[in-house]
Amino acid sequence: MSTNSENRSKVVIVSGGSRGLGQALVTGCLERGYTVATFSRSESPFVKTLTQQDPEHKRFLWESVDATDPAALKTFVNKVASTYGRVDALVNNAGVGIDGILPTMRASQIEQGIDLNLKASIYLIQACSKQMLQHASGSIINISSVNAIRGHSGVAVYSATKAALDGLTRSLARELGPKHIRVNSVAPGYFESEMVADLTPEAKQRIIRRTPLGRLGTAEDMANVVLFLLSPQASFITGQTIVVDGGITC
Amino acid sequence: MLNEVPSKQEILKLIVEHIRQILEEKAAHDGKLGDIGEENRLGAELGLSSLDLAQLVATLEMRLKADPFQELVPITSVRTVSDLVGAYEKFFSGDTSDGGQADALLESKRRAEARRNNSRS
Repeated sequence: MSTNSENRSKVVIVSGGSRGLGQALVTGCLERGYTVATFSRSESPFVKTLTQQDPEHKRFLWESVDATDPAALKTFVNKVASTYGRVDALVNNAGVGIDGILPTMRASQIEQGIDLNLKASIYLIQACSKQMLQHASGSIINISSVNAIRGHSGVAVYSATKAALDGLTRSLARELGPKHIRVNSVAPGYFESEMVADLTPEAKQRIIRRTPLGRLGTAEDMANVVLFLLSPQASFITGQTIVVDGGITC
Repeated sequence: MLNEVPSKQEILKLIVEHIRQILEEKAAHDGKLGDIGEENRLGAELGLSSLDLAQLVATLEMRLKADPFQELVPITSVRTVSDLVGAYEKFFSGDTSDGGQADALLESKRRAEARRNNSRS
């Protein structure tokens, strides 16, 4: 069995690392000296810049992957393992918002949301955990949501997928713990992102008024907690959902 | 990775080597490690947990580039070292038959469908 205390760069897979929170996660991991592999459907300017800076993929790898294709996810994980020798951590960040009142929601929208937010995460964990088991160490972090903690009208299916991720987190923590693989969730509240871009200024002000810490979060606020959970300082934490919302759900 | 199509002896040697490795990691907690033979039962005799078996299969998948358990052989049917060797032999032999398990699954689905239809009527 090997440990993470070796003098080498930790290999982290971040799903959906091309923009938004994923971009903040990739940036934070690279700043801490980690090797980062990420995928998304399409290349973003952020990804393009990083690829140009590291054309030989010494510490950064991006590929276009359809997250709804389990075989493609497995192929990506195996490529990361063969390129860098192992997979130390996974951040399940890729997902979509699923907005709308359930009674009038199209079945295709429900299917797509569950495929991307839940099934893709499960298949990605399955592929990564096989890599982690070989070294009997690892860390998996699922990006959940405050919608998994509290009820909100118009996001029922989204809430269901995120609450499912939290359940997955707890059971997997027990299942994989004996092999020193930690599994945790981070549940972001409202933070400056595409998710809140459609809110009116009044709605944003209302959220800020209800938030004890008096502001919206930032992607960096969320990424910092993920980076903590990836770090050796969190080596005794598993099976937990950490809510990062400025106190709005307390 | 071994040759394209490893022999039964090569598969057995690899499996025993990795079982030993996993058990040695656990030995600090669980006690002594004896000989490992084909007839040994993975759980009851060797003390491998289902997670240990998953670790073994994950390692073998990388070494042999083979995963017989995704479609070909149900992992729950593996009881002994010999069963495990047999699963990989089956994978490399190209034998895609499953001893009637697909038929049994289909029949089970038919029965479930019939029950659903009955409950609707």
